[in-house]
Amino acid sequence: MAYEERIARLQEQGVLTQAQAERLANSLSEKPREERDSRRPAGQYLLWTVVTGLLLLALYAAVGTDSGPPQIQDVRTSLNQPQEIGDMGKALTGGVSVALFVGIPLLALLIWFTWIYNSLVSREEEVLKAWAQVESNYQRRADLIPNILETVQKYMRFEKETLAGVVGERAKAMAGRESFGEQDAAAFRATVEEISKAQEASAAEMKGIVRAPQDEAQLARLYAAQQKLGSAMRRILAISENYPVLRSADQMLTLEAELEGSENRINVARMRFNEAAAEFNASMRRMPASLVASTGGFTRKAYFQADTGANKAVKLEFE
Amino acid sequence: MHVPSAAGLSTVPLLLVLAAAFLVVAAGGVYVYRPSISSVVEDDAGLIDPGQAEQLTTYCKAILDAYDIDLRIATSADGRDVNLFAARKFEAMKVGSHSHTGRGALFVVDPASDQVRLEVGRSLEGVYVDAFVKYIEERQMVPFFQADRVTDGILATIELIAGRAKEAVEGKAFDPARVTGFEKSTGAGAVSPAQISAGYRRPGSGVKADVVVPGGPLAVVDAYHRAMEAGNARSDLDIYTPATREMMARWVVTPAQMRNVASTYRKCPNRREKIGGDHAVVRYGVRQRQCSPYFLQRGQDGAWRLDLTQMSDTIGFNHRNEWHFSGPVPSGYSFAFDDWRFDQHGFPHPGRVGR
Repeated sequence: MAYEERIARLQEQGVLTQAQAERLANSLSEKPREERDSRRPAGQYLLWTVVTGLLLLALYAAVGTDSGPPQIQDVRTSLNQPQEIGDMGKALTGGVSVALFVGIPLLALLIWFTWIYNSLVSREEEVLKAWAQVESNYQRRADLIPNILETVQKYMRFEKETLAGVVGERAKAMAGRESFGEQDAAAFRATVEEISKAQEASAAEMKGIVRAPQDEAQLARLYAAQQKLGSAMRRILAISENYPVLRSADQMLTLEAELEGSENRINVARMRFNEAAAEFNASMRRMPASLVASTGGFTRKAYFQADTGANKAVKLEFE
Repeated sequence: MHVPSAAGLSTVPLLLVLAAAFLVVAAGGVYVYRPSISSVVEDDAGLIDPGQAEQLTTYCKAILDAYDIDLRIATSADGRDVNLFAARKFEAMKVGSHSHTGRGALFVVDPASDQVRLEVGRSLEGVYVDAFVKYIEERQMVPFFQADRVTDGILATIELIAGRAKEAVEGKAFDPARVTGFEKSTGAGAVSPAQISAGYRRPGSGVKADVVVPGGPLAVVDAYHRAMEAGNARSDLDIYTPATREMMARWVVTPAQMRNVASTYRKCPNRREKIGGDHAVVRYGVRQRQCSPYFLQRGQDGAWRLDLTQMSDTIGFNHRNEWHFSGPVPSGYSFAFDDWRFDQHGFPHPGRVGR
């Protein structure tokens, strides 16, 4: 079932308010992916300028200053006489000398530039790949939100009014379930509110990131929102610990393992992103790559500044 | 005089270089490294003695041969975050590189932080989902760790990994794509408190020992399955012989083992009891390789009881969980197998030729 339908159903069942449902529905929608290869124009212009220059030089060298077709030299006529400077003693013609003394160094420069440029591109691609992994793991965890809420509501009654409004077979089915105590029900509602807001804030930050994060402040905001989201999701599961039937449900055990797994994947992806960004940033700052980086439009990538203990394992224990 | 052209001169070495390059690439494609102990077990914490490391390596090699899964074991004296340690160790040990299909998983035990983690490689994520990994850690491995039997815990968990691999092969759940080159893990798997030497807590300790001898051999076996299903691992149940009770009191019985017994035997058809004097055997179809026979003895009171001692001494299982006699057919129970023959490894086959 699509997440929109599930959210709508949760709203019908009174688990979500309208505002919470809207927040979740909007923020869980797939983030539109930016075109990956919108290469920096500055680097491209420079590259094409050098290539065009070389082509012109090659053309100039080929045509040279002579207008006629190349001829086989007649040694008898071209042997130098005393005091005479013949063809064999002549200095290289303009086209060839330009090709030798300007073209070859320029070609070497082009090869060097291309090599440095390509290595920067490869490292930047690694950063983009690592960031895509971070995004997909954030999405994976966010996708668990409807599952967790559905599982809890399947086993619990939320409030007496809800039950009173239910008739027939469904009322009978619900009658045997445990009911949240008032305190837990309030905690549950507050946590759902926190989840929906944190998810909305996180999705807004993610949408603002093009290709890979470059703004430390923005990344810090995203990190804070995600931390809040993760902690709220864990709190929902913690509330269920007071209810043995819910606690022992296979679905709940699976969800706990999935949440824990998602959190670990996020940590690993963040670690790899930081490593890739650090490598890219370091290579960009080194000479002479920094010259290519500045002309090629490469920019420094932001890091996750994890707070102390952020990498610690999530503690969700069975039984 | 004929002077070879420039093109002619360069063709021969170029072909040689290309041929060499082709050979290198082709060799890389077919060459798969076979594991040695040092590459399977890295015991920085000093938890595993050389004999156990050898045993683990043998078992891991059997799994590699049977299911192309590259299993490794690492212990850490680090005491820090076992999750990130596992991800880095997975990369450092290149777990999965022994496999043709890049299938790999790494056990990490960290006694300092008292945690255990099974890090699952990318190509196994769909088969060993996080919830399954969590389950086998907590319900199979940790009870052994509690009893201070780390290697046994890992071996017992590998049995469940093999069981799941068998199901995955049958259900074609493995990703058939061949992986070229090593792939880092994505952090899949699960972590659990290891509880090393915390003291084994027998499942069902709080349950009353009310499983009594209900009737004939088949009924006793049924009662045993019900006890397993209910998670009752008490050693003092009336369905066990006195020797079995003594042995059971020393055994580590895990919730996963009990669930496994209950679910395996639910799928075992052609059940039949054979009685010879005070001995009885409940056995299943000869082709039901995962359904091992039960041995029972009649006591002084005339009641049938399970003789798990004799079963554990004589029946073994391979990595596919197929049963076989690890020695001669036990004399007291051989009457029940005279219509089967056993091969050199003790596996049963239909036919009357005795072993």
